[in-house]
Amino acid sequence: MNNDNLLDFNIIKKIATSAKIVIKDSELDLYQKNLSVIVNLIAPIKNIGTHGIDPMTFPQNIK
Amino acid sequence: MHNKTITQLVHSLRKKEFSCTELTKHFLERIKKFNNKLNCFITTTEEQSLFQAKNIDNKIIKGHELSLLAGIPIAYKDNLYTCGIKTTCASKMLDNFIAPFDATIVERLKAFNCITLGKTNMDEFAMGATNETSYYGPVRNPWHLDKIPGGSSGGSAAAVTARLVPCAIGTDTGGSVRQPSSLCGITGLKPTYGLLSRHGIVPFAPSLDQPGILAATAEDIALLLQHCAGYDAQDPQSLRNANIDYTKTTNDSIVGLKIGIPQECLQHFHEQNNRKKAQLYSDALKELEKLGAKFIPLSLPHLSLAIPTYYTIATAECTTSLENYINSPIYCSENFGAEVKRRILIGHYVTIEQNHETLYVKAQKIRRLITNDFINAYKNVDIIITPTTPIDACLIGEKTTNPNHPINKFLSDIYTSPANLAGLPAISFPIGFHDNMPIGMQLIGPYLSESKLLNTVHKYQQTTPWHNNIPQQFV
Repeated sequence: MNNDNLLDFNIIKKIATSAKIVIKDSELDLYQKNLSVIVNLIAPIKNIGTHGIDPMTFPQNIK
Repeated sequence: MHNKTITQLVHSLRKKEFSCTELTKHFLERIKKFNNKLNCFITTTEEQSLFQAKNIDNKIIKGHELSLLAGIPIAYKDNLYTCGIKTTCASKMLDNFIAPFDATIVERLKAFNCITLGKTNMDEFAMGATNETSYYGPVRNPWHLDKIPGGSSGGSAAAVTARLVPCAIGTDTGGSVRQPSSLCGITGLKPTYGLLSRHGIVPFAPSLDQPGILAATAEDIALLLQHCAGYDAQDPQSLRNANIDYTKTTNDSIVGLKIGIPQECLQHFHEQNNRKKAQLYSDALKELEKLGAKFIPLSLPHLSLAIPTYYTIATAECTTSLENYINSPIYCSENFGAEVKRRILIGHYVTIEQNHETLYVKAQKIRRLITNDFINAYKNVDIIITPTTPIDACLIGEKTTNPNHPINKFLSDIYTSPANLAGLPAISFPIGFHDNMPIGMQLIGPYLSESKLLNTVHKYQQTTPWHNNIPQQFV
C-alpha cells in the first residue's frame, strides 16, 4: 500500500475519539495500516450505481 | 459412545444400552482429556451436567414420556446466555459476567432435556474468522493442532470434530458457523434469518446475526432444528412460519433437484485454488449428479461486492451493539481486543456524516441488489452450490503477522456472507481432504428451505464417508 492510500492520523484520532476507543501513540502506525486496508477494501461500493434502489435494513423487509 | 451420531445416541438411550449419566460422564471425561490440547471450551459445567443427567435418568425410571433429545449432551458458544453460568463472549470485558437468564434456544433445548456440557471458545464478540481473537487464547484445529479451526464459532466446531460433544450451537453473522464447519470437516447450518430466536444472544450485527447448529451429520441437525426452531415474541425479527417437520423429508429422493452453480464463484475459486482442490468439488458434484441432481450455470452479478457490503454493514451495526459496554461505567473499552477495536473504529468511519450516504446507506442498497440476484436465481433453480470458503486452515499466527491481515481474514467470508446479507439458509458439509485437512461445500437455499438443504446433504452423506471421519488422536 502506498502512502496516498493511508488514512490520515487525524481521521483515525477523530473516529477513535467519537468511538470512545483509546489508541496509544505507539499503536497509531499499526491502526493506520490496518484501518486503511479495510477502508480501501470497502471503498469500491462508493462507485456502484444504486439509483432507485431502496436500502435494505433487515432481510425480512423483502418479504 | 462418542463415535455415534445423535440419531444413534437417541436409539441407544431408548434401548437402555447406557444411561444419560454414563453418556454425560463419557463426554465430560473426553473434555477433561482433550480440552488442554484444543482449548475449545471456556467453561465446563460438570456438576450441573451430572445433576441434569441424573434427573433425566430418574424420569426415565419413573416412565415419563421424554423428547427424543432427552439426555443428549450439547455445548453452547459463549455468546449465548446460560443462566447462572459465565457468558464471556471470549472477551476480557465479560470475564466474570454471569448471565441472568437463558437464551431462548438454550431454554428450549433444556426444556427438551438436552444436557449442557459447557460454553465454547470463540472469536471475541464473534468478530473474527480464525478464533485467534479470543481473550482465552486460540482454539486449535483437531486435524492439525498448529492450525486454526476457523471462526468465529471455532470452539464449537473443534469440540464437535473431536467428539468432545455430539453437537453445539453457534452463531453466524457472515459465515461463523459454516466456515469453521468446513475447516474442521463437520456439518454446519445457518438457518433463514428469524427462524431461530436471537433472544439472549450477545449481538454483533443484529440484521445479520443468526444462531446456527453444528453436528456431524445433516440428519442430526434436522433433529436439533426440529426442537429449537419456532416463533419467539422476545425476538422482534422472529418468523411466524408454519410448523415444519425437518426430520420427515431428510430421506426424500433428490432426483430432478435443480442446483445452480454461480459462475462468479467458480471463476474466483479457480483463481484462488489449485487443481487438486478443485477436483474435490468436481467429485462432490458428480456424487450429487449420481443421486439425480441436475446442474444449471447461473450468475450472481453482485457477488464481488458482498465483502465490502458485508463489512460496511456489520461494522456499522457492531458500534451500536457494543455501545452499552463502551458507555458503561462498569466496563472499560481498554479491555476490548485489537480486532474488536478495529471493527468499532471502521463502524464509526462508515457512519460519520461525510460517509453515511456514500458508504453505509450505499451498502444497504447493494444489499438489496445482492438479495435480488438470489431471488432471480431461484426462479430457475431449487438451491445454489458454492465452495464454503476459498481459504485453507492456516497456521495459528500466520496471518496476524501480515499487515494486510484484516483483508486475508475478511476474504474467507466471500461465499458465506451473501447468505447473511440476504437472510437465506445455508449449510456447509464435508466433501473430502486436501493436504490432510478437510474441505467443505456450501448449499444456499431460498427462504425457509432448510428441509431441502438438509435432505440434499443427508442423501450425499448416505453415499459418502467424509462426515464419519474423526482425527486419529481423538478416535
